[in-house]
Formats: sequence, structure tokens, C-alpha cells
Amino acid sequence: MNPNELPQNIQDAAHALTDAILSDPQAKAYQSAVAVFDGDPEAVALEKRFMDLYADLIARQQKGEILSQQDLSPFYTLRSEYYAHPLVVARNEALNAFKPILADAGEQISVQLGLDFTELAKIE
Amino acid sequence: MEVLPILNLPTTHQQLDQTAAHLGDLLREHPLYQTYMQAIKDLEKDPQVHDLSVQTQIKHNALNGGKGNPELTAELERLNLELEALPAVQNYRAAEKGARDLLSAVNVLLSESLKVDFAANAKRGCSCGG
Repeated sequence: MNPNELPQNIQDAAHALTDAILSDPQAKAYQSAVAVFDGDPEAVALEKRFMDLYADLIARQQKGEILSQQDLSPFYTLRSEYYAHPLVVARNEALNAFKPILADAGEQISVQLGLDFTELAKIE
Repeated sequence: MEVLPILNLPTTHQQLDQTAAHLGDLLREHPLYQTYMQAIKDLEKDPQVHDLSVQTQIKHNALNGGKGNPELTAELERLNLELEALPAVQNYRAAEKGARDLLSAVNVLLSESLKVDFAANAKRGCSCGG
């Protein structure tokens, strides 16, 4: 279902929830870390290279190919570089501090539903 | 008599809890969600589903004791297919898909504004990335 097809009252409630979440200082810190990251072309390019390489290796593995050390070595090097990048570190730290707010919100939705929203709402 | 202390929750957290609960309320009332809840109830009280589930569990337990038994594996596969073909199970699968469509659309909406996959990162104790 396209989110635009949701009933208006649900769309409004979802927007009210994101407004409430975004008023939290941890949420603001995360949004700020994302903005700093997105504003750095070198960091964005590094992330793209890392994600592209990862996607390529996964696709090859899923086709039955057995990846060699020669295939994996550049991946591990790039992964280390990626996770050590200061803006990636800052964004991940901000996200970790932000997660409890998300968990609180998810829990409140789940209580009303009587089941785990985070499980059923996963983007496949 | 013991009196509970009044919790002094920050306003933003109270507001957050209320808005999240309100969204949950609206989702619970949505026809797709109601259909899903009804399908779960129907599944739970269907005698054929119950019988086949019990048989499947028995075979499954037996298979764990004798891994690689082709007869048991084939029997378990047959029972699973029979179970999946039951109208109550098919109805449940369709209703579950409807509920997933509804909730994942809400998740997309939340995630776009928050710049993070909400459902993936709202799990308690989750250490998954953004």
C-alpha cells in the first residue's frame, strides 16, 4: 500500500507522532548528525561505495558463487574505513541515543494493537 | 495506605506516548486490521487447523529424533501443504498480508520524516543500523 492511500486520519496521526518524536533533543541530535553526514560528499561517496560493494557480493553469493579471499579482502578494508569515518561514527552514536525514543513510541503503538508493530510493519 | 508518587514525566515524552497511542488506536480500528484479528480468532477455533497442527507437531518432533528420514520428511511436507490449503489458513494468510500492507505503509510514512527505518530501529535492545 502506498502511504498516500492511507486514510487521512492515520496520515495525520503519523505526522503528529513524528512531530512529537522530532521535538525530543535526541531526535534533533540525530537529525543534525544526518544533515552533517549528507552534507559531506566524501562521506556520502564512501557510504555508496560500501553499500554497492556489499550489494554486489551478496548478489553473487545468492547466485551460488563462493567468494574468494581476493573478493572479500577489499570489502573488509572498505568496511573498516567506513565504520571508522568520524561522520559515520557520529551518526551511529546519535542513532543509538535516539533509539530508546523510537522504542517507546513503537511500544505504545504495539500496546494499542495487541501485537508487535515493529515486527508486522517491517519493510520487506 | 500507600500512595503512588506522581511521575513527573517530561511533557515531550507524555505527548509522544499519547500521539503514539492515538496512532495505535486508529490502526486497530482500520478494517484491514480488524479482518486480521478476526482471521486469527477463526484460525484458533478451527478444528481442522487444530488437528493438522497437532499432527504436524508430532511429525516434526519425530523428525528431530531421526534427522534425514525421507518418509517422515515427505509426510511433514504433505501435512504442511494440507494445512496451508485449509480455507481458514488461506484466509489468515490473506488477512495477514493486508495488515502487513497497512502497517508497513505507516512505517514508510514515519521513516521518511524521521530519516531512519522506524520499525527496524524501534525494537527493544535493537543494535541494527539506520
